[in-house]
Amino acid sequence: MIGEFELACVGLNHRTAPVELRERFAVASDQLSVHYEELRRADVPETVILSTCNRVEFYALVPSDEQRLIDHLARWRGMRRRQLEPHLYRHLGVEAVTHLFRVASSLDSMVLGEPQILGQVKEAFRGAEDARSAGRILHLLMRRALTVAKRVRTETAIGREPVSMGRAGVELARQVFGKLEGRGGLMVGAGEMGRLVARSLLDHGVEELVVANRTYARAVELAQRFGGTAAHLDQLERYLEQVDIVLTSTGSTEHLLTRKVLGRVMRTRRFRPLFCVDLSVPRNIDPACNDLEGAFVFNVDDLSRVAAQGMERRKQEAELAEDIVRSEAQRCYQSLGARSADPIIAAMTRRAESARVAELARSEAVLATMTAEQRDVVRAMTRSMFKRFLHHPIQVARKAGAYGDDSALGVLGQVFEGEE
Amino acid sequence: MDSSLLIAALLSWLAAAGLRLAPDRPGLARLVVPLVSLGVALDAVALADHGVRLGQLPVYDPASSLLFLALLVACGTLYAHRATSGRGLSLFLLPLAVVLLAVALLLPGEFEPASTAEWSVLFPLHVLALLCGLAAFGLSFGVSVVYLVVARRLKQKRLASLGRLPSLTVLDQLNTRFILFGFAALTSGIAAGGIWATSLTGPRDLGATVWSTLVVWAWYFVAVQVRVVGGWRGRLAAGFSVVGFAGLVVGLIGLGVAMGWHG
Repeated sequence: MIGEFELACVGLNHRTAPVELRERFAVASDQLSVHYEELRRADVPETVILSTCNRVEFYALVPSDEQRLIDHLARWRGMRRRQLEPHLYRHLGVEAVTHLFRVASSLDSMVLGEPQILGQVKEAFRGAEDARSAGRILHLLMRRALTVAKRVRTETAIGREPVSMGRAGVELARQVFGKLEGRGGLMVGAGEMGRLVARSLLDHGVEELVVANRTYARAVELAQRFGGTAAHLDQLERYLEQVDIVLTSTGSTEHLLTRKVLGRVMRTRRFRPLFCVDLSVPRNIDPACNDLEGAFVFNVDDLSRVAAQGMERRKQEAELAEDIVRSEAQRCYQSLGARSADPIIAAMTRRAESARVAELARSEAVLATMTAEQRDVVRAMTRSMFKRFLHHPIQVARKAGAYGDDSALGVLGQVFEGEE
Repeated sequence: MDSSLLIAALLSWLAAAGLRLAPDRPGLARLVVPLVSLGVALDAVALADHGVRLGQLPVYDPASSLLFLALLVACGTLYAHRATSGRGLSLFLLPLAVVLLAVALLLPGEFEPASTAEWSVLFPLHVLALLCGLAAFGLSFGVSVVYLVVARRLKQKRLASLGRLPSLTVLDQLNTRFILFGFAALTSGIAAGGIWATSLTGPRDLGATVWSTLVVWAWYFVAVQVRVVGGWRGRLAAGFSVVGFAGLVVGLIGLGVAMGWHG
């Protein structure tokens, strides 16, 4: 428990609810304040709502358990609890903290390690702060979640390996060229996979794209879409001498690029590296081209393998990330618990200060005979005495809060919060 | 020479190189620069101390020149580490510094100061420039080996954890810089040495070491032409560096052992 409240998380995600249900419960940003207000009225003092395409989650400080949150969700969409509950997951206390940290660290994402979720958590936190729904506890919790997510990204390689065909193409191209900024690409054909990889390369810095197609009108259409240049297929050799990256994705049953042609091109290029990705089946680039100096030819299987290896690596890294999340969640929940001692600590300090001021007032006559410096020394001394005296009880109160020792907190409360 | 400082430098470089064999952790990778820098500082302190005792630049006896070379290689490693955003080059470059330092440690420790009676500014320039050239060619050798490894793995589609090594283009650029720097240093060193020797004794027959140095110069001259003027890239350019440095080392050791060092 955190004082009189408990931290709860209730939500549904891509694993527990079909898209039809998820879209029904998605919370639009202009609806957030309505939810926050309603929950406040239902004695839920602090709430943060995280709504993405894969999940809708309510993190809240609740008086006892998560039932109020479930009631709120059911009422909102006019569903019976019985219908809704099978699709929901709920976490209380340290479990809720762990879940949030896993979500923010992208350990609970559909694509493990994807980076977007961190921005979405940040956005949710900002929305709750704007609506004044993230109070002291959730503020600390969300800040910690963002820090833990960054720690996971820094200390593990969970987001580094490519897991899509597009990213696999980008990573392989980077292994040849380093940065892709300023590089030129040639896309031969209009296959879907080729377009996917081309988009990824453009998103990662490739600046110029030439689109060559058997049907020139189709090449023009695609070139316009990618902001590139259209070319005829018979101009292929000329462009091969200029570009750095070649993507082929056509329905041709013959090799469009033979070893002889590419050999000629490579000599003209003075063996400047040429990165080729053949996404066609049957292949459009003669595999023997890979033997040419400076030419690096990959096919659809190579890209799939890189993506699969990336996923495998991310899974390995996830184990390390889970350890970080678990230990951070435990520590965070304890420090949140320690906050439940804050009112008692405030009462201790208040009572000590009033006693100090009263005693100084009683000695006013004696103090009046002293110089200003001597009076300052006495005041500082009394302040320091009380501070020292309170140090240990404050530590005990914090520890009691952190470990949920309600009886110790109760005794301290009676001692310091009661009437004098 | 203070061997405890040198052993500490050796250990810190070994640790920095070894870090690249550990699992891929950004936290560990961040230790590479401090460890290499620590080794550089320790080596520099040992050299400075030795120089103060000798009362001259600590580059004229075999042990000091090896230590100076190790220092240059380690500095070059730091540069390469920065240029490749810390991608694994220390594992390939630092062993050279480690070997140089280890050999220096095995050599007899005490040397008489070299006689400086006939020296002008040209002789120290000759020695320093040649050492800089050697270090740069050594670094270019290491970078070229990495280039060949990466290119081979890409060709063979052995793609697992390839991202831990620098890209081919970055390696090629780095190699070109080391070759150009080394060639400029070698040319300056040969010129300074030639002018100095001629000023002392007039034209004379060139010894085997001088001839072999000129062969090395010619080799790297061709390498520079191929790269800079011809614009050739890739394995051919990397091969030039590997063969050039291997030949240089074999030649230097062979001549040094067989005939003693010239001078």
